[in-house]
Amino acid sequence: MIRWAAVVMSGFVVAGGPGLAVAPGEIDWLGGTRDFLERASAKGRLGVRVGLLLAMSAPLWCWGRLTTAARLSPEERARLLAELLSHRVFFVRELMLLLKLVACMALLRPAAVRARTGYDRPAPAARGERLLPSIREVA
Amino acid sequence: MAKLVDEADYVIVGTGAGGATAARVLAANGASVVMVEEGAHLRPEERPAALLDAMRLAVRDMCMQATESRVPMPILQGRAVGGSTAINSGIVWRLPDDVRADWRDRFGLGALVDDDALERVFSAIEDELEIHPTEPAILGRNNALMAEGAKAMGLPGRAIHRNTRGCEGNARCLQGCPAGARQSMDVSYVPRAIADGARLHTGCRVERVILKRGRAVGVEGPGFSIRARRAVIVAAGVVHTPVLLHASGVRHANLGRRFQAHPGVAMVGRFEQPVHMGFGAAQGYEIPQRARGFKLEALALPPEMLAARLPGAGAAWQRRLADLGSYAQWCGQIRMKAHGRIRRVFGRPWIAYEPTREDLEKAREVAVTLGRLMFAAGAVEIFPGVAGFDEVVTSPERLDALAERPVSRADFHLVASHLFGTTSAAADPAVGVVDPSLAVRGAEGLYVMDASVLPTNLGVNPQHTIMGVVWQAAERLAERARAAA
Ligand SMILES: Cc1cc2nc3c(=O)[nH]c(=O)nc-3n(C[C@H](O)[C@H](O)[C@H](O)COP(=O)(O)OP(=O)(O)OC[C@H]3O[C@@H](n4cnc5c(N)ncnc54)[C@H](O)[C@@H]3O)c2cc1C
Ligand code: SF4
Repeated sequence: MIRWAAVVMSGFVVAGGPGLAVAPGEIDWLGGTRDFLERASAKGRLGVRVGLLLAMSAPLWCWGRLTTAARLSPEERARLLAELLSHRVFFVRELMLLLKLVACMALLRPAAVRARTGYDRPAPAARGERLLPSIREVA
Repeated sequence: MAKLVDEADYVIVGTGAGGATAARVLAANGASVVMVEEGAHLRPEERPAALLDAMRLAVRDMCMQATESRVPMPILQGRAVGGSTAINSGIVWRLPDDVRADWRDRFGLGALVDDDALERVFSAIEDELEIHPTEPAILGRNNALMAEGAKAMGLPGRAIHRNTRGCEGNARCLQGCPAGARQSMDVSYVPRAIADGARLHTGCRVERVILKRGRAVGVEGPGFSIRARRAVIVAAGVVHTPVLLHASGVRHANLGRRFQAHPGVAMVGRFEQPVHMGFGAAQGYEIPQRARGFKLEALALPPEMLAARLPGAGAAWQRRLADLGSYAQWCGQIRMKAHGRIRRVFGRPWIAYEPTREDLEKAREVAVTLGRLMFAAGAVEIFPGVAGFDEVVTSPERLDALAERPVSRADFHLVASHLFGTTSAAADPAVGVVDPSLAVRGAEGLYVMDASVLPTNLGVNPQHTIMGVVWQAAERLAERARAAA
């Protein structure tokens, strides 16, 4: 089941897609999920496992297509996950949100990726503000 | 492994707002005190920034504790030295006058919440914990935008009064303050009690208060046993206090009942100007709306949570992620009317709690108000987070449709962190599990000193009220002990 995690977690972003760019291999989706499963409470672990099962089999029960999420194109997989995230059944939505949160934990772990999102305020120097007056000003 | 054995005048279970305050007062009055805490003692520099590690170390069940219901509601509590104060935002409000009058008139708690006495106690706590309005320099845009929205809508907002010393504005309160700036109990009253001679045992989950012929004589759990010469004070929080008392043989018709909360809804909006949620006080601005039954607050999220809150997956989501610095998040805490119940089932808490229809209508009102506020502050789009309604709203007019929409529980993402009741105090023995001195009825030498004794919810953030009420009760306990000696 842990191998499904790589399929589903990476499915939230489309490699080479627009917006936040992630280089191939930059995100350790599997490691991120493993970390979560190792640290999570029993309820959290169960939630991730059931969520993965639902997401992998969703082409069948959601679209009536006899295939798994692993066999979809990256764009179709992302569309499937987006549909599940706003599914009419509360418990499907919630489990998908949990998977998305685990995916975000893996995605934002590399400092370089986090920096690219703009979440943090740039350091004053990087914003063009000088912390100290220049020598010429002092002189 | 050798069994841990200890003994003190007072054994206090839990080191949150209630337990730490009791320890601080009793130790300062010369009593010998032992604090027993299930969680770990995390020093500020050990506070991890990564959400997963922070949740594992300090939050009960890693945020998975929830109500037992078709639509579960997460019930957040800390599990570390400092209890929930170790992961809270440091917001401070005094007990509102109308609630004080209600407790005096309906629950006979006039002496416990006497105006003059509370004035003195609140002032002392405010001095010791350095309570003051959030400084403009560390407000950050997430808070400042809410101030702009409040001004545009003519709503009475203010900078939040918090218990901080040297806040760096790194928006990490909910992961635990890495600067030791927020004066949560782990950096304030717990060390102060220790300086006055108290001892602290961590990683010790109390499973039973030992009652001998109706008198509490100690506590025990796996690998430890601690004897109490004078009293055991249970301060394990609203969910675990009734469970522990029940496991110890305490029985009362209202034990675990009257559970109340301030569940919250949140909304994210995108602004054209950078917000950079990663800078600023995690919660630095608020708009109290007590007459309407709720309170709005700016609430910074860790980046992983903010990213997960942005709608969609794939290209549309990725575009938003590239712009994560443009989002603000605000929330509303609702003073709900619902009453729930905590029971002990297979040794664990079972939380039954369902918002009423009126509560859900209030949640809708909060969502609509937050949306209007965001547009008033200049948001270009908002994500209401109401299931079945538009994922993205780009004009305030569209919120009229949300205001008219029938409500259903599954539409709202409610989360509760302000909890009350379950071991209510009252003068009437049929109502109060504890009496006005916070002594457990039907047992001797057993007290409850945490949020579970508050007989109703407040409509404001609770930690100051909990500390004030506990301070009062602990001081009287110390006085009685002195008089008896
Ligand atoms: C995320 C979050 C944000 C919040 N923000 C604010 C805010 O800004 N302002 C505000 O006023 N309030 C806030 N609150 C609420 C406030 O922190 C709580 O109301 C308050 O801390 C409750 O105090 P307490 O003593 O009842 O319980 P807690 O502070 O929860 O402490 C209970 C302690 O008992 C321990 N314990 C439980 N069972 C056992 C056992 N069997 N053996 C040993 N130890 C045990 C727990 O580990 C915990 O440390 C927030 C709460 C949360 C969760
Ligand atoms: S904003 Fe940061 S520095 Fe300030 S109190 Fe919160 S965690 Fe500490």
